[in-house]
Amino acid sequence: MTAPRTLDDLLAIEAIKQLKARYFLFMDTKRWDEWRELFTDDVRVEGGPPHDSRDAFVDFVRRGLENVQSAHQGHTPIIEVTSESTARGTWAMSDDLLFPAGHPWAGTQPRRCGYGHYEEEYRRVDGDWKIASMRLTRLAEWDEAPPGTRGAPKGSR
Amino acid sequence: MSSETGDLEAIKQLKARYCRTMDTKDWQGMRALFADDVTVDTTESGGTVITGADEFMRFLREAIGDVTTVHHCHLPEIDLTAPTRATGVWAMEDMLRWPDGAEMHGYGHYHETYEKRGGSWRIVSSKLTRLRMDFGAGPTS
Repeated sequence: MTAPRTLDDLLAIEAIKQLKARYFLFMDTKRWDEWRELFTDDVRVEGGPPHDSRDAFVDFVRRGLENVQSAHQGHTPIIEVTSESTARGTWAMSDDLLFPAGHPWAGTQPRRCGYGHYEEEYRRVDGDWKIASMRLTRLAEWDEAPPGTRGAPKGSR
Repeated sequence: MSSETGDLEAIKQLKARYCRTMDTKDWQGMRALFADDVTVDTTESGGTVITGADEFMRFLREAIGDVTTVHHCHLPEIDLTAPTRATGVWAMEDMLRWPDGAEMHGYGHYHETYEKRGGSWRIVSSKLTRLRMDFGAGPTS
């Protein structure tokens, strides 16, 4: 791989890594007001139901995850700074969701483990990097028994 | 700026591409990450020591071409040992599911060397040591 060329590029890459770290932290700890600030007003989201407005997207996720124990992780970012105020990147990701009974997103089991990649674009607004577009592609989504119950005799739960 | 910090970031992105191209089965993209004479030691995962990038790609396509794979790498320890040479250790976790439902969940470390050739960093050697490999017959039913 070709190395980033300038210190400014490296500082932007580090800021964007921290932006995505906050994305995961604020989502899983349900700090929705802070989560909202990570996106541009006109953020475009694909990979689930498409959205092109920040507030509608944040409300959709907040309602969906309200009673869900979620754990999202991001790994091995590839960030490319394309100008002083634009960048793009990909992240490997996993999510582990524990749904309450009857949740509309739940599958055959209360737990779902998913794996995939985020493809994103970033824009610097008033000095702060924000997520301007986000597309989640999936390698796999597996419905799993909840932790601690796997391997228990059938009917024991 | 110091070119070393840029090189460190480039090597982290190299390994990120390794995981992504393998799991998305972008074989052509993955081939470009290796030196032609790369050595890959897969013995602790039940394989052999493979020499040559084309040979390794052939091995990999046969081993996981129809397997859903997820490889995640963490906490790189990269040392630049010369302007165009580096070593690295990565913690890793992988999850594999075969078409018949069999599965494997593993943990380990990649021990690697890298060289900058023609302006780009490439993987010159890679050995995967295993902490654990848990095999299952299939998803819970």
